[in-house]
Amino acid sequence: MKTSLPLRLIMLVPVLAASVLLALVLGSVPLPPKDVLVALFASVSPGEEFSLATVIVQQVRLPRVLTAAGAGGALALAGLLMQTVFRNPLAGPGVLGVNAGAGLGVAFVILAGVGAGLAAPTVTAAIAGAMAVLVVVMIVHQVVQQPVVVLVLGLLFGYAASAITTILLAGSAVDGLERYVQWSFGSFALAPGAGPLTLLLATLVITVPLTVVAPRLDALLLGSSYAESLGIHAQRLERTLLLTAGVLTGIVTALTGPISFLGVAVPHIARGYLHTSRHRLLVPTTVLIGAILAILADLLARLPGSEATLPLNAVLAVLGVPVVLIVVLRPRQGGVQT
Amino acid sequence: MITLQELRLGYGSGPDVLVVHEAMELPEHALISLIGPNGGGKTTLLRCAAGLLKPRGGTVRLRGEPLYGPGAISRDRRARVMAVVLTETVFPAYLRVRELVSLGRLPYGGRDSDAAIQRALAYTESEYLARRYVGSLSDGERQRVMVARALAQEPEILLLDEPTSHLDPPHQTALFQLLRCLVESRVIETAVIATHQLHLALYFSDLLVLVNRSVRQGTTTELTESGAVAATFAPHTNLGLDTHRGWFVPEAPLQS
Repeated sequence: MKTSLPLRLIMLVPVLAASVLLALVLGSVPLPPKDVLVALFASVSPGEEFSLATVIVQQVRLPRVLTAAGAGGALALAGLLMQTVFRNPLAGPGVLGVNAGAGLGVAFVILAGVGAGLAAPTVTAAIAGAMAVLVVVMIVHQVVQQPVVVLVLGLLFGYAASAITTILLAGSAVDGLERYVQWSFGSFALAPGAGPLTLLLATLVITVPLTVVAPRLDALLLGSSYAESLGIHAQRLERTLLLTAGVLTGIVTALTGPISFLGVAVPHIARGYLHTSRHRLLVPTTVLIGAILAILADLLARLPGSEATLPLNAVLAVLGVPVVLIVVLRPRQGGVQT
Repeated sequence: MITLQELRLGYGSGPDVLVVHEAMELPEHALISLIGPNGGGKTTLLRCAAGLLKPRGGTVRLRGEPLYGPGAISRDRRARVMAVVLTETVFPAYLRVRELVSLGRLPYGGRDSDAAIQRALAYTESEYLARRYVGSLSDGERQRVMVARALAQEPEILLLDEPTSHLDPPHQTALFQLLRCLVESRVIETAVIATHQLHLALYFSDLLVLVNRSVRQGTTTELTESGAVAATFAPHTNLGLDTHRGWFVPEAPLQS
């Protein structure tokens, strides 16, 4: 079957809509699709009576789905940008050490005994930690200018931040340790207040300009010298992309804990699905597939119909590894490349 | 025309790769070959002339306008005047040849793309590759496609770094012939080619630049007859240059 590439992109929109609906319908309390739709558009004014379905949909499932969609899209996009900048198929949002920085921030908060659960102080600390690492990496990039060096230093800073986190946690009480482990499992259920919607909007807002400058990203795939020879300020573009990826990863990690796998894997799935490395279509496709996979993985993790849940990262890996294997091991040319 | 003055070139904090005390000129309507031994500085000189390597000292001017430093020509304009073929081999798997060649139209914001891309593919005899993925090409095919990408940029000056290294012998000659033809028909004004294909360089070039830590420039006849070409490569060996065939042979007959 030959389908044009834009059509392949558009075909993902109903899939996303179906995933969202499925995630709203299924759960420990199954709700009929009709009730879900009614509940979605029901206005909730204070003092008024509203149905159980409205509470579940508007206050539990919808924020969770929005978080999943935003986080999945953002991490996948961050991964794609990293792979393009480093021209390395193994690059992902984690390689800048931003995840580890966020973890360090959370460990500080836990040790200080501020706040309970995953409330605002934790999110603030995680963002602060992530941005601290990002700033250091960007300064290094400014000085050495070589992407590969940044890759190595990002990993090293990541290890350093993890090490300090471990030291901090070793000295903390058992319940603090438990909180940290809970955070490190990753979850789309914990983003507070306006977090989910902000995340989703941020991802969409960043996607638009990236699609506009897409041909420049294509040129970057040839290496920074060729990009320069085409009139592109390669170093500035690389810096902007790294910063974008770092900020996206930092925000997501702060809101959901460290989510592995999506960032590295989804760009490969998107390339395999479209058979193109051109960013104009690859960027929105990556965002959509990231959102879809995150929603479905979260749905599986919730084990619909039961009270138990699975760690999200485990589900992501179990669900995603076969998909990536199929994409990468198909006997076509190409294989794992950017 | 590119003029280079009192150049000092190097990378990072490393030693100088190339020092040129005099002024150099890469003139119009000429095919110019940069030749010299490995590590002599051909690539470094080429990258500097292309606006990709800021010199440590000296100036580089493109038709009188500086390529580097204050008042430098804008990136966009530079990209419309000069195109390069480099030795880098990072290639995306899922880009089709035509899409790769079309990247050459970026400096024009994609204007007049189709005709230029078609011409570039035709010059390099790679129309039949247009729908193939770059990742599936052989090294030689890819090299021709990269030349097509540079030509799609419709440059006045084309700079190529060892563009024949993966080509079969007929394609090597064909590439030099193409450059000769493009220069003579004024499609491009200047072609600068760093190469180890001495026989082709001697046969096709108007000018030679001998590059070995320093630079010496002259016409092909001048530099071969004075022995300068041979001296650049093999100053201390017992090899001699056969200037007609463009290869090195032992000066003393081989001992059996």
